[in-house]
Amino acid sequence: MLTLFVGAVVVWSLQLVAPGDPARRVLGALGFANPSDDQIAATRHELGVDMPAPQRFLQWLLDAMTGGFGTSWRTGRPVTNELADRLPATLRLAAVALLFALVLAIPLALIAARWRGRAPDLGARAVMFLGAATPSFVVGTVVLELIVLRGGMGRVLADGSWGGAVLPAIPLALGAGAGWARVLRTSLVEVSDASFIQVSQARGATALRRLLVHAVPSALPALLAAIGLTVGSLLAGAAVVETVFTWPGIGRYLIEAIGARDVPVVQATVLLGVLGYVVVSTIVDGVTIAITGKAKR
Amino acid sequence: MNRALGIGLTALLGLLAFVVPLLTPEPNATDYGAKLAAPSWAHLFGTDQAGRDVLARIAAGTWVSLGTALLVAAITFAVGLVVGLLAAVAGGAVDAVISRVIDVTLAVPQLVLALAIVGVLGPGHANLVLAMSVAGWAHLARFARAFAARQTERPFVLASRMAGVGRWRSAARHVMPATATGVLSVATLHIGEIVLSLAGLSFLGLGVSPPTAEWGQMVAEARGYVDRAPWLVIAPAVVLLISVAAASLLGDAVQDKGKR
Amino acid sequence: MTLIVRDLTVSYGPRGVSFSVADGETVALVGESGSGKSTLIRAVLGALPRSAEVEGAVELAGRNLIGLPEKELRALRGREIGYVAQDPFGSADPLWTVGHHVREAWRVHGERPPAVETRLKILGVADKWLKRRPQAWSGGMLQRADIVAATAHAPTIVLADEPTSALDAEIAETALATLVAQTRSLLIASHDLALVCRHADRVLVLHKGELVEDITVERGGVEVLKARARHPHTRALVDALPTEAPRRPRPTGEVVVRLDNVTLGYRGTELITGLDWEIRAGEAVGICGPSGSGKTTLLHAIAGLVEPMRGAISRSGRVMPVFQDATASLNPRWPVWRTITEPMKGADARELMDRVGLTGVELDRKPAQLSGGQRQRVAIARALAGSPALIIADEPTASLDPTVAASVAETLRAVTDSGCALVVVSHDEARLNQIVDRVHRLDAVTSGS
Repeated sequence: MLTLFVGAVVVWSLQLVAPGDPARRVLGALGFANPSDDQIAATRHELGVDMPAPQRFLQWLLDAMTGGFGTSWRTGRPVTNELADRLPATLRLAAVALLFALVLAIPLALIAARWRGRAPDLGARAVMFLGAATPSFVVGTVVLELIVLRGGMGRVLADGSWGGAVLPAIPLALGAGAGWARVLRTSLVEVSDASFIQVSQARGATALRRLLVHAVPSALPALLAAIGLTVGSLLAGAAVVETVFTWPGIGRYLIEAIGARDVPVVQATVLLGVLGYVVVSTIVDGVTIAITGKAKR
Repeated sequence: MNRALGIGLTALLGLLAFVVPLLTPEPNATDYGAKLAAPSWAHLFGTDQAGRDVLARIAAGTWVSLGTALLVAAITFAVGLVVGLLAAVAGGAVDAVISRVIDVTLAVPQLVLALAIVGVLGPGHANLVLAMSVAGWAHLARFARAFAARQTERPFVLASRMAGVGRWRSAARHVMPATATGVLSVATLHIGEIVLSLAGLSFLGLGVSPPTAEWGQMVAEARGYVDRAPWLVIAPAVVLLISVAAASLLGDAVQDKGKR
Repeated sequence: MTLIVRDLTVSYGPRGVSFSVADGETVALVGESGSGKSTLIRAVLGALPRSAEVEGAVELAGRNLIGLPEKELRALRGREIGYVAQDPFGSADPLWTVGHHVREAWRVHGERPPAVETRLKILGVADKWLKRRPQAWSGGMLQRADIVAATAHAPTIVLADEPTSALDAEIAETALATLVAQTRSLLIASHDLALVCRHADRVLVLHKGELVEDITVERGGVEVLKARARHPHTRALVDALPTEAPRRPRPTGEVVVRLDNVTLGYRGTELITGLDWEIRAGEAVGICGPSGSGKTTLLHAIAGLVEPMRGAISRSGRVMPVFQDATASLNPRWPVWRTITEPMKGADARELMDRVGLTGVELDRKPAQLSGGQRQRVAIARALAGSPALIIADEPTASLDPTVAASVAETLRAVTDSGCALVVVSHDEARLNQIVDRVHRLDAVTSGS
């Protein structure tokens, strides 16, 4: 909660350092190249930027808590409505990508840890490196151009549906999944040296049992933390992929808003991103405590 | 082995930045007669949609893409180290304030914060550097603080303090060198991430403006030509891959050195 | 013969070791760190890393285990070969209950666990504990649970690697007695010569990978070993056993530290209440007690590193420390002369090094180039360089090999020759008596720690 409030302060204060007069910018966007002083003053009043900063912040915060983020400087529509239109598409994309990433990460890490130092491990690590080091915009561009446009598969104009989310989810999932696999593998390898794993081996446990019963639960908190971090920055990842696939989500909307210097939209979108991060971190913390039982190790 | 590979890849990138520009055409020289030419002896990596030499643009892009990443890494390293050390050694109210600021900055995911800053200041190279630095210093500062705090509790620092050496002098002698190495290794490991983030932001059109060559932007410009001229995407992707690999191998090497 | 080891050589450990363990026999492997006893235990378990090259034979009931496929080895582990590890807390997965840990001994072989509650009750552990995770248990209790797991299938032989070194002295004695009682044949690796001589039938002495002596002690204690030891290394180990230092009369000099009705605690729990104490110049005193009794807290209070909850502590002159972990107590980047002269610029590092028995060691060595004992001596030289009124030492010999510990103990005692006072904390009362003139004993704190 505090995090969210602090995040709000940070996000909002950014506009104070924004260069240029917002009124002039809004009028420019509406087609007035050389607005008169009266027009500027009127617009300033309309935007509320003639009030002192603390008062503006309180007003914005109160509005934000009741779900209002002002109007877009670019389109004149309420920001809340615009975001509500686009949020489901991004959540769909995120859900599919999350699923893909887990399906990629977990088997990859388990294979690498089970045959540590041998051929399957080296192969899995090569995949992890390539996945993490290939930018999502490259994967996205290639997937779009080769599979969608040339192969004629999928829909060129992404419609935000579940089915349409499959292809855009690939670049998103590849980077995230490879990163998670790396974290999980490192954590599994670390714990496999633990004395209790050796004791389990000396009692006659198979390598698979040691991995699944002892190593995986111990390594899970590290994976969860990594997932929390990735989901936290999902907005940024979504911005890239949604732009490539012209996916009608909030990531692309954010990029368009940045291009147009549409400050209320940027603020609202980023705040939404922070909110998502806070929610996910809280869930991750809860699950971690449930697993470890607040065990101090 | 890994260290040698890391140095080798870094040397390759150095070659790309310093030597290749001497041997290739101007990165922005257009030749519409040779549009989208496949790789050949004249154009090792082929040409793009405006007939510009891709190798020359990749080499020129090294300065923008890698240079910017190194600049951001250097800024975040310096700020993170100083702030973290200060918090750990001074303790008390100074530590409380610094820790609070770090927590606040980390409350916003790094890339989202960078996007927010660029979003408000507007696109552009300088704003991008500023945004990435503001978003990136905090985790290094937190690492430096924790590392220095652990170092401060080590027996030999305690012995030094009990021998009557002052807090700051003891910190400068025993805490600083090890912390600097530790933070350096983390900062180096993060260069790869910064390179990728910067390329992504440039791909979105938030970085340098055309026609300046930048790896992420080159991929953005290549959209629509991928099936006809795959080298337009492959070349930037490969140099990005090399940069990330070099950074991670060198970071590991620094870490090993710190352990010894 | 239950177990026969024949010419066993591991690329980095034992070299040509041969011995046997008869049915019902308890055999102890003793030796200093690096002598190869842990590697030997792991070789018999078949748990060496893949990179290790193994030659020779390990025969269990007539069957050679070396080169046996993993699948067949796995069937033997737990059923024919039991294993007890060093630290009971390390052996049990912290995320599972101890009940799960004990029952796993059956589950790994696809068997339904029997009522483990009764087996634990025999060893004095109530069944309510089984539903709790290891961190709620005490070390002694957990070691008993681990013994139940290790002997689940009444294995032909049980291997134990330093099974008591993580336990307090009194608990170690009963834990080892329990282990011997619960097993048929037992092979135990330990550095605690006195302890194993009381419980083992035979003692095998390892030195640099070689088996140098095989002595029948028949649980007769260390006196029997002393009488029968022939090999110089065994003699060295026996000589390194702590002997009580001659008691010197209490000096009448200046009081260096005075504790006046001092109460110490940790997080609101009182550990030590109303302590009055005086330490005089030239005096060597020890603080002894089980873990959690407040030994280190008292030492830190004397040094002024923690404040007492009540009461006053006055001290005159500088206090310098010697720590348990000799490696961590030296800056790894500094040559030894720099460490030694840090407390006082211009101190004669050479003279100080000679005084602590480092005559042949060059001044520009880095800590990594020194042995554990040498590092601890450098730490003592640094403490002396500050010309302190008092030197405090927290378990200064606990992480050293016995032969090294004995001579470091003497060096430490000698610091009082110059009139400096010395306070040493240790859980090992015998070793403590070798250093100090009198011991202050702390009792275990009952309210749980």
